[in-house]
Amino acid sequence: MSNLGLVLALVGAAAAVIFAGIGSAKGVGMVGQASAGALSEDTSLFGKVLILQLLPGTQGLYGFIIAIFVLIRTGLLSGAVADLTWQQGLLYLVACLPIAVCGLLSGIHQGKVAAAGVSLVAKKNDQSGRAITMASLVEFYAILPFLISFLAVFRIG
Amino acid sequence: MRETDYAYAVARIRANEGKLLTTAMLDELVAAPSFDRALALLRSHGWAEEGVTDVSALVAAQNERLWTLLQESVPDKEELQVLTSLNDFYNLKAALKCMLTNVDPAPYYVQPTMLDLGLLTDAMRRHAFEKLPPSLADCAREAYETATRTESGQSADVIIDAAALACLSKQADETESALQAKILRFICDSTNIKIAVRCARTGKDLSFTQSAVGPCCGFDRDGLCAAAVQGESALLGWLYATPYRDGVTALQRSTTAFEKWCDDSIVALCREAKYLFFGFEPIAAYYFAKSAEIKAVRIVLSAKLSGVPAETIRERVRDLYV
Repeated sequence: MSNLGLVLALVGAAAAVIFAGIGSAKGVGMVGQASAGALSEDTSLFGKVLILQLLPGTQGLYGFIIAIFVLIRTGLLSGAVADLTWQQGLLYLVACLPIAVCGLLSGIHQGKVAAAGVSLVAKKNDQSGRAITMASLVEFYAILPFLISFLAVFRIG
Repeated sequence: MRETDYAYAVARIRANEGKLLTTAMLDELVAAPSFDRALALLRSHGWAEEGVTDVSALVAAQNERLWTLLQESVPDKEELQVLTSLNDFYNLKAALKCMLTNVDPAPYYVQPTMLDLGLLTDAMRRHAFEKLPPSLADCAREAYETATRTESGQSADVIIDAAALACLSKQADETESALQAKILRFICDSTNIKIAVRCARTGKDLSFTQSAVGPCCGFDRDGLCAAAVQGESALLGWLYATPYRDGVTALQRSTTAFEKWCDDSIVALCREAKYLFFGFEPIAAYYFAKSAEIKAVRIVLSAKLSGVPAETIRERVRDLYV
């Protein structure tokens, strides 16, 4: 199969978008439900809970950025498709794995922390800063794999 | 049902937890110089509607608000069944007694209940017990047959109470929630203790005591029955060696003190749910917490109407969740 390298690279790009996207969708969905519960009692909380709901959405964005870079590096966006060996394709696939796996898991877990944060804000609306800080700490473990995936994609020759 | 499916419900419940009366507010209420002043305080906390002065109406409105909130919040209303099963059995007792005395049972029904009360009344009038939910059908038939055979309402009550406790014990065994199981088992055990004490005080024999006491979770059922037959002091001595030692101290004071101890213990168990953000536990905990608050306010207002001194009221009011 002459295009095996390209296929493997595209599988990597797809994994980055799909798994990180699933993590974000689950996380944002969960916080959305909690936010609706809080807003049904106090609509003035909208601004505070919106920030919490946005936080688990970043994983999907990170996965999307990595996939775009893979498409750029393989020439799929410009139309000048690179002639990749299967080893190079495999390298792209492996480079996408950190954000794919960690994006999925951190999105779900950040969603849980943010949903709990919404409950905290619903009860004590002066605690939104703490709730956002706690949910943001999970973000760190989405940023690290994003950076690794980003650097790895760029270093593949 | 996954724990995270309760995200909406828990957030809504947490928002309402912030509106629960605190111990300081309750103290203020107890110290109020008159019923009108107490009512004004409740209004300022958003507890009482303007113009409503009847204690029963206030309590009914709060109960209805609580039940509506829970029904609107939970992803599956059937799950609330566990909170109302005791009321279902109470309503069955009311329906049976009213049927036997040819009285309309509607004013005697208690809320909240998941049971279709119209269906209950109709099924009891027509003796169509099979139309009732399976948990009630058999005991309704047995209680009716016993009541008509013995012409004793007490025997029917014993059958229904024992079935209610068996139902609670089954629910405790089946639930996946450790906290819910703990609360249900506590209710089961404390109710059995109350029954055993009543049997001991009225000198009931072993056979009657065994038929009245339901399944026990925290101690040996046969041991409890045997101790009850030997008298109240033997029973209290036996209970002292069980996990319900603190309850014995309350029982030695009075039955009212034991009732208060039971309610306070349930609220103490519910406090564990303060640190949970998913699952049914925070919802169940809020139900028990709000019910305790409603009971406390009812006690305070009724006492204020009767001119009971603040010190006496303070001894009777329940601990609050907040």
